[in-house]
Amino acid sequence: MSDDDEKRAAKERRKRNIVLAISLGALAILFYLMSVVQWREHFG
Amino acid sequence: MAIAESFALTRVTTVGDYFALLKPRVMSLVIFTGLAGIVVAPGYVHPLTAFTALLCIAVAAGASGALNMAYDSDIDVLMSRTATRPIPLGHIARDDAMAFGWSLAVLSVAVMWLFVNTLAATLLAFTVFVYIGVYTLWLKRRTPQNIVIGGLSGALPPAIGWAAVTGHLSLAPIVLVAIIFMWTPPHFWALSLWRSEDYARAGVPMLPVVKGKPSTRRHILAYTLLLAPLGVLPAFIGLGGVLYLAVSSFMGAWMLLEAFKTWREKDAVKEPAARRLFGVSLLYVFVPFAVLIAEHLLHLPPLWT
Repeated sequence: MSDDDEKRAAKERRKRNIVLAISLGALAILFYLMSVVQWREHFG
Repeated sequence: MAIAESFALTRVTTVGDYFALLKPRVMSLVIFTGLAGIVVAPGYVHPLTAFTALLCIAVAAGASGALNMAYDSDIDVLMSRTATRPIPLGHIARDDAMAFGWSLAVLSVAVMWLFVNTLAATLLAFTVFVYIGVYTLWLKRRTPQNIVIGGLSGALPPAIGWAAVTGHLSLAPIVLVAIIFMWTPPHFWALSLWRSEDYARAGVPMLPVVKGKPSTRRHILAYTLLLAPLGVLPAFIGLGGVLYLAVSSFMGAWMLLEAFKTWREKDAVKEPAARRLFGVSLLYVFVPFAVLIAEHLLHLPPLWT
């Protein structure tokens, strides 16, 4: 594998990690917001 | 699965490869029909709950697509339509696709169950089971009826959307499911008419391969004859209004005309009529469902109450 290929691979891996982090963050926010909605539906 | 396991990775897996595994075009259809189920269902649901339900439907559809590509990678490489998918190209490992698909499937059903309701989650799990267990693993390589029965999976999203809002099912969502269920065979058989060599090479017993093209043309016409009246039924059960009746009647007549031309087609190589039917069949789902959604959002009265 050439230096260019390794750089490209490292860049792709970083991009994958960023997308994974954003997805998990969005899921956490969704869980929080849905918990609030459910709490209000039951007790509000 | 010895062939599938032998695909060597040709480069590092990208985000785009994972996205391609989700079959985004199929996903868009499922999101659209699921949205129709949510919008036309009676009652109120919090917009965030509706969004969560739609997200779960989309993710489960994507998961099913990824799992289908993983389990079928040995035959995908043999067909020109599917040889450019990420696994046959060596852009993603089959096991990684499998892990990705199962993770998303479990996550989508769990979130639906936690935050929407049990019926919607059960129906969602059932769609994944039908697509992977019944269609991909059991019927696809065994019978030409594969897409008839497997089509139930793609037909269920309106019922899931409806169940997400109401918590139960009734005649109306079942009619919407029946429309897509009856639409699926002529749609895929039209495609299989000009892809029959592909399917034959991969050993997939699609109708033109097993029964021949004349029989497939008759099947397409028969299913379309049943589909056209079914498509207008929502106007008579309190779901659709005058506009829906007009549009669904027109689309039904157009699809019937194309099915008739496909039945009479003489060019068994290029299959121009089947290609046109395939295009019209895509419109057949999107246009009437879009009208149904618009009528409900604009509070237009149904034809029949």
